[in-house]
Amino acid sequence: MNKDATDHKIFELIKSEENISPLEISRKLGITEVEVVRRVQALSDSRNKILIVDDEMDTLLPLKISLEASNYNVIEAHDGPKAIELAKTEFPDLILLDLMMPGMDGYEVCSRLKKESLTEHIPIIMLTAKDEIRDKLEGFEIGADDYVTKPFNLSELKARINSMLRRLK
Amino acid sequence: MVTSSFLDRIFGKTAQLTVLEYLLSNKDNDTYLSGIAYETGLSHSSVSRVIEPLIEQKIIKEKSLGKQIRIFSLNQDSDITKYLLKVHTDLKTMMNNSSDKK
Repeated sequence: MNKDATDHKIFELIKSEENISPLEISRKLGITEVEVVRRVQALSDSRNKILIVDDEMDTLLPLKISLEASNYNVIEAHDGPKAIELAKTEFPDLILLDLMMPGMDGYEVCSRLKKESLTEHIPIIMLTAKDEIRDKLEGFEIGADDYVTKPFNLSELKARINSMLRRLK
Repeated sequence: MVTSSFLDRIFGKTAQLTVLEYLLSNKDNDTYLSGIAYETGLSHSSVSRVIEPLIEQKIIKEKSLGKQIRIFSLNQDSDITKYLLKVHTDLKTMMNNSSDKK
């Protein structure tokens, strides 16, 4: 079942029987109760959604925890193809994109997202250990909106995220 | 799924117009935040932001379902909504006729 079909079935079940429990919904749809609770919360979740794309858990996890503590809805991808899939199905408000990943690198992901009408408007902040000016210029040329060099200061990164999200409004 | 819009060809593409057009095109259906986001290609936070002025103008009605689900529908009792529906239908017909002639 795709994401929206499941959400819609949950919505219709609650609409037809407002007091239905997550357990009953989980039995009817064949998904776990935890999944039902998560999906019901997501139906009306209006927090800013940030997609972090990084294959290194040492970078991704602290960043995710920190952003969630700041009340962002954080989703994650560990490689380029998954990042593109999530950008097209989850419609994040902003993407934090690691440059150096095995397989499809951050430049390629950025380039593909900026060529698609569905995703071209999503701001992308590149995260990278590369500090060469030519690397930064290449990122900007293919459509990156900002560039942060690792190791980054979390407060500065959050300030950049907030600044970019304010510009969208 | 992202629905195509014809109003943005005239008025320019804005998130608020996209949400309004989606609701005008689905006038008899209740929907929810993530459903609108999925159908329009907008983020949840964008939908939440741009739907507020439409609720303030009483073009959209909001209700609660259960403890936490916000549901939205077109307020068809409003004169503004009735007018918007008429304009939307008429424009759609005109634009379809215009593209048939090309």
